[in-house]
Amino acid sequence: MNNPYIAFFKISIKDNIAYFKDYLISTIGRLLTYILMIFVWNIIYLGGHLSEIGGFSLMQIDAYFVIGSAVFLIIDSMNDRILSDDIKTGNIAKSLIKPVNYVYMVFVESLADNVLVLPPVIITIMFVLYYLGISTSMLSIVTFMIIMLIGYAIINVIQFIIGSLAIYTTSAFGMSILFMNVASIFSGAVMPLTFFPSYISNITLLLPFQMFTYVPTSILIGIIPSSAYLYYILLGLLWLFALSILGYFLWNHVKKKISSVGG
Amino acid sequence: MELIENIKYFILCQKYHWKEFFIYRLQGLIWVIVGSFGVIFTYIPVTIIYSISQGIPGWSYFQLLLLSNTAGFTIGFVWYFIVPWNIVNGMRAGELDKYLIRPFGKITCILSGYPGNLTGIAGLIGSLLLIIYSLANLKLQLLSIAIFVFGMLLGIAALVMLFLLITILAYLFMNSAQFTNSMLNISWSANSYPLGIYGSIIQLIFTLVLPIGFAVYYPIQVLLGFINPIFAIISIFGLLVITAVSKLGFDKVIKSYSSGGG
Amino acid sequence: MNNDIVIKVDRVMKKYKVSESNSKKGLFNSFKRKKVIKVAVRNISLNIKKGSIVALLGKNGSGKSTLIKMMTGILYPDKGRIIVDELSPYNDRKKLALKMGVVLGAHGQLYWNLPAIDTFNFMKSMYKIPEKEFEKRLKLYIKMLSLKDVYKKPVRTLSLGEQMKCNFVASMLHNPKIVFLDEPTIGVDLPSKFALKEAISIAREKLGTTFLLTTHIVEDIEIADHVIVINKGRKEFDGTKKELERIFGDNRVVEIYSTNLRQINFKRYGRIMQKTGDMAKIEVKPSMLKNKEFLKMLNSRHVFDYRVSEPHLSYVLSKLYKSFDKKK
Repeated sequence: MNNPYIAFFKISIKDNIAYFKDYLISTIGRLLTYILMIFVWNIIYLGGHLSEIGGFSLMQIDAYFVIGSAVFLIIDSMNDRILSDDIKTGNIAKSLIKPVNYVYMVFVESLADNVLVLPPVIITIMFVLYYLGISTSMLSIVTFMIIMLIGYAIINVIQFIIGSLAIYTTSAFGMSILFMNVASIFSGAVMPLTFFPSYISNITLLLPFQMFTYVPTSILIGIIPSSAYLYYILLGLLWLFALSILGYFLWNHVKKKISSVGG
Repeated sequence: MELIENIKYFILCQKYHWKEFFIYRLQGLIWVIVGSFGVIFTYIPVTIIYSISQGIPGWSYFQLLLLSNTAGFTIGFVWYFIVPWNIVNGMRAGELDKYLIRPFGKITCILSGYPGNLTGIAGLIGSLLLIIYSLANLKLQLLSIAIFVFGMLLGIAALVMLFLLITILAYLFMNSAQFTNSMLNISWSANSYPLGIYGSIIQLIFTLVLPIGFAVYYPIQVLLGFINPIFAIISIFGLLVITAVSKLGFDKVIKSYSSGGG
Repeated sequence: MNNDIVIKVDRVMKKYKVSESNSKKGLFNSFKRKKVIKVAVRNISLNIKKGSIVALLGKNGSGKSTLIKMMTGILYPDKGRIIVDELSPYNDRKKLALKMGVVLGAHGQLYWNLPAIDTFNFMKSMYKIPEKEFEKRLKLYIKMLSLKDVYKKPVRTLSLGEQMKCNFVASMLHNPKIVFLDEPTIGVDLPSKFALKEAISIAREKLGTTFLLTTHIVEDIEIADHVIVINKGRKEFDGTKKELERIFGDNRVVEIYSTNLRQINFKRYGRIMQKTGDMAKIEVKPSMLKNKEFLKMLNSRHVFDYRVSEPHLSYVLSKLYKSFDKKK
C-alpha cells in the first residue's frame, strides 16, 4: 500500500492513541455538559407542566441532547489547532515541500481523531433511539448521515480557514474560541433552533452552523419532515461549496506568504 | 508586606503581557469582537428559556440571569489566571524555571509568568454587564450586594488557588492539561444553573469535591433571600478553607516538581 | 564557612521518578509505563569561590542541570545541603533571587515580540533599580556589547548572538552577585561569543560577580578559571584548566611537515592523530621529546618544519569522557 495518505492516517491513529487519555477526558467532559442540559430541560418541562416546547416533547428534547452531543463529537475536528501549530513551529515549510497535498494531510489527521469516536457514538445513538421508542425510517437514517458528512466537511473547512489566519496573529486560539462560541449557539447545541424567537431562527436556519447539530439530530428524531430533507442537503452543499472557494483562495495566499517569509 | 509586593509584581507582568498581546493589531480587533459576542453567549440561553416557558421553578428571569452570569464571570476569571495548557507545558519543558527564579512567591511566579487567557477576558466584560443589569432589576439592598461582591472576589481567589493545585496534580499524576480544562468547563456549565436541579449527589459534588457551590450557588441564594444568611458565613468560611488547603497542598506538591531532568 | 566561598555544595543527592515508555507494540501497551527511579545527582560536593568564573561541563543527562536547579532553589536536594551566599536556595529562594542572575537559552527572559529595552525596563521595575543607576548601567552594557542598534528592535527579529547579548544584559542590570549561564553560546556567532566573554571578564573584575557557566562547547571553557566536570551524577573533575591538562593532557601534540611523509614511521613515536597532504599530527608522551631517535627524525632532511604544542582542550576533554566510559 503505497498511498501516503493511508500511511499518514495509520500514524495519526497511533499518535492519537498515545494521547488518547487527553482525548477521552475532553470527550467525557463535553458529554457531561450535554447531559447536564437534560437535567435543566427536564425541570423546565416538569416545573411548567409543559408537554411541548418549540415542537419538542420532553422525550424528544432528551433524545435531542444525547444524540446532538454525539453528533457534535463526531464532526468536531482539531483542524485549526493542527494548522496553526504547524505555522508557529515552522513545520509547515517542511510539509509544503513534501510531495503530498498538505491540505489533504491535515484533513486526514483530523479524520483520524474522529474515527476513534465513531463506534461508541453509534452504539449510543442506537440505544437511545430504541430506549425512547423513537422510530426511524431508512430515509431518515441515510439523510442523517449525509447531513453529518456535509456538516463535518463544513466544520473542517471553517476551522482550516481559521487556522490559516494564524499567520496574521500569534495564534488562532482567540478566533477559535470565538468560532466555538458562535457555532455552539447557532448549531443548536445549546437548544434546538426552533426555540429561538422567529427573527433569530429565521437567520440561523440559513446559516451553515445548523448542520453541526440541529439539522441531523432533528432529522433522526423525526422533528424535521422528510419533505424538507432535500432543502437541507442542498443548503448544506451550497455552503460547503462557498466556504471551500474562500478556503482555497486563502490557502493560496497563505502559501505564498509562507514561502516569502522563508520559514 | 509580602502580599503587596507579589501583587505589584503580578500587575507589572500583566502590563507587559498586554503590551506584547496588542503588538499584533488584528489580535486587538479579535479581542473586541470576542468580547462583544461574549455578551450574546451569556444572554441568549437564559432569555430564550424564559420566553418560551416559565423557566426554572422558583427562579425568576433576572434571578437566573444573575446566577448564570456570576458563574460565567467567576469561573471565566479563574480561567483568565490559569490556562492549564500553558502551565503544564511550562512544567513539562522546564520553561517554568525561568519564572521561579524571580524574587516572589512561587504561586505568584507561576500565575504571573504566563499571560493567561487574554482573549477570554474580553468575554467576561459581557458577563459583568449582565450581572449589573440583573442586580439593577432585582431591587436588592445595597449592603447585601456589597457583601455579595466581596464574596465573589473571595470566590475567585479561592478557586484560582484550587484550580492551580488541580492543574499541577493533574500534571504530576496524569500528565494531562486537558483534565483541568474539562473540570473548568463542567464547573462552568453546571454552576450556571441552580445546583438543586441536578439531584443531591451532583449537588454534593459541587459543594464538597469541586466546591464551586460556595463561590456561586450558595452566596446567590443568600443574596436572593432563598436561604438563611448564616449560609453566607458558611460560604465565606468554606472559601477560606479552600484557599488554605489549596495553598498547603500546593506547597507540598511543588516539591515533587522536577522539571525536564538532565 | 570561609568568607571566600560563595557556593557550597555538600554531599548532595537528588532522585527523579521517570516513566519509561513501553516499547512493546499494541494499542493498550502504551498505557502501561514503568516508573523508574533515576539518580540525577549522586553525592556531589564542591566549593565555588567568590569572583571566580567556573565552567560546569557534562553531557546531557549528566546531572549538571539538576545541580544548577538545586543551586537556584528550584529543586530540593534529597540529601545533603547547598549554601549560596550564606542562604539556603530552596528555603530562601526569594532573598537569593534578588542577588542572582540567570541567562537561560538564547532569548531566555526577553519578551519575544517586544524590543529588548522593554525587558530591561521590566527588570528595572521588578528589581527596583534606581533610575539613575539603571541609566548608567544600561549605557555601559550597550557600549560594551555593541547593542546600540539592537536593543530597540523586537527580540524576534534579532540574530541568536544579539538575543543572547540582550539576555545577558537583562540578567546583569540588577548587579547580581552570582550569575548562572546555561549553554549561552549555542548557535551564537563568533564575535558575539567574544563580546560575551569580554563582558564576563569585566564584570568579574569590576563588580566581583561570580559566574557559573554550564556548557559542552569547549571554547567556552577558555574563559573559565575553574572547571568542574560532571558525569552520571558524579563529580569527576574539579580544578583549574591547567590541572585538567596536566592529568589528561600530559602528552604533547607534534605537527610534522614533510614532503615525504611515507618515509617516516610515526607509529614508533606515538599515536597518529591526523595525516593530510604534507602534514602529520601525532600525540607523543612528554618523554619522547628527549628521545634521541625522535629528535633525529625531526631534524632530518625529510622534515622541513615541525611544531610542538599542548593538546587542545577539546582533545583533553574527549580523553576525559573516554575515561568515564572505560570506568563503567
